[in-house]
Amino acid sequence: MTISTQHPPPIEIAGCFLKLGAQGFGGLGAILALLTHDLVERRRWLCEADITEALTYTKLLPGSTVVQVVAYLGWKLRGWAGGAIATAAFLLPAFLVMLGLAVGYRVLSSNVALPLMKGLTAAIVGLLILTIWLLGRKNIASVGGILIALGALIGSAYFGMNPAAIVVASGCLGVLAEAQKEPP
Amino acid sequence: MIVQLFGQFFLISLLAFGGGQAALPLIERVSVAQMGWLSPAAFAVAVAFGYITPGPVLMTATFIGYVAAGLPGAIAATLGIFLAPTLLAMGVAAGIERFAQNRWLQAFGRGAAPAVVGLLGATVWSLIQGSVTSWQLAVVAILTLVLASKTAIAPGWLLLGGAIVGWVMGIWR
Repeated sequence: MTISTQHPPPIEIAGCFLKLGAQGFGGLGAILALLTHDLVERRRWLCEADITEALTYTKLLPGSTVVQVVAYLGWKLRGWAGGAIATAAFLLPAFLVMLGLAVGYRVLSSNVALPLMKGLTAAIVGLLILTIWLLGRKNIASVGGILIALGALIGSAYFGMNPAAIVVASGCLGVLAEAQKEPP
Repeated sequence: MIVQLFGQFFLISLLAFGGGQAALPLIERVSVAQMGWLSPAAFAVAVAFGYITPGPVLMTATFIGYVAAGLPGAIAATLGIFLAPTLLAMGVAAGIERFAQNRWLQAFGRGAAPAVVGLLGATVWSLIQGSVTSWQLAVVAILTLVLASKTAIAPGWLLLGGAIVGWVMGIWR
């Protein structure tokens, strides 16, 4: 894999991703469209295949895919420094907005905000149930997967088991299942 | 506390197979149930803000860090949740892509991802117990679910709608 032929100066990378970070609403799909529009169509720093490649490889890794795509593309533009600059610049606007909201929350978290928060929590419950469905449809493909999901649910909700231990143990089950197969 | 914030979020980020949302149940289990950094209701607010703000949903970590330990906490939690995945992504770009395609890493991910879905179920269950305390709030939850799955309305607006309903109900009493 090679660094792209375009090597914009660090300051331009920072400015570009700062702007993208401030506009990056609406989750992975919307942000990918935004990145393609700005980096491929407008600035011509990268090509469409770079974005697809970034998504293909980072999807397999743990962690926030949005941020990983940005880090990957930053690396393509200017190596390790490019990746670090792009990621930091992309995260900065959201970090500052979130910090402002957290400060406001601490000031306001009183009886006034309580009913508001109850409505908000109920709405979040709705969104998270949808997320369970979407993540489940994508990641649970076998009876074993269903059993692991149910085991994790019961282990965490009723027995208060350590969540990290549950995930690691389940990952090891995945490895064991793979070891049972014939080598490809 | 600062070290713990960084350490826990660092660990969570490495276990979040399936993207940013896969980290949400781990964050809830660890920061609410295990460490007691914030209440279930405050966690819901953190996630709501994560959806509303630009950038990744995992900015939720910044909020939790701030509530737990002020500005240093916010910085520690944010670095913790994004550092390792960022380095991994750049490592893959730098040519160790075979690592991401490694048969055993993928098998580990295939086992871990369903567990994350199950943990998300536990998170939702604890939120329901703590916060969905009336039939009106249950209607808000169901309505949000239906609208989010059947229409293209952005989550931010649905959350705002839920907050307004809660606020109106508060005035009523």
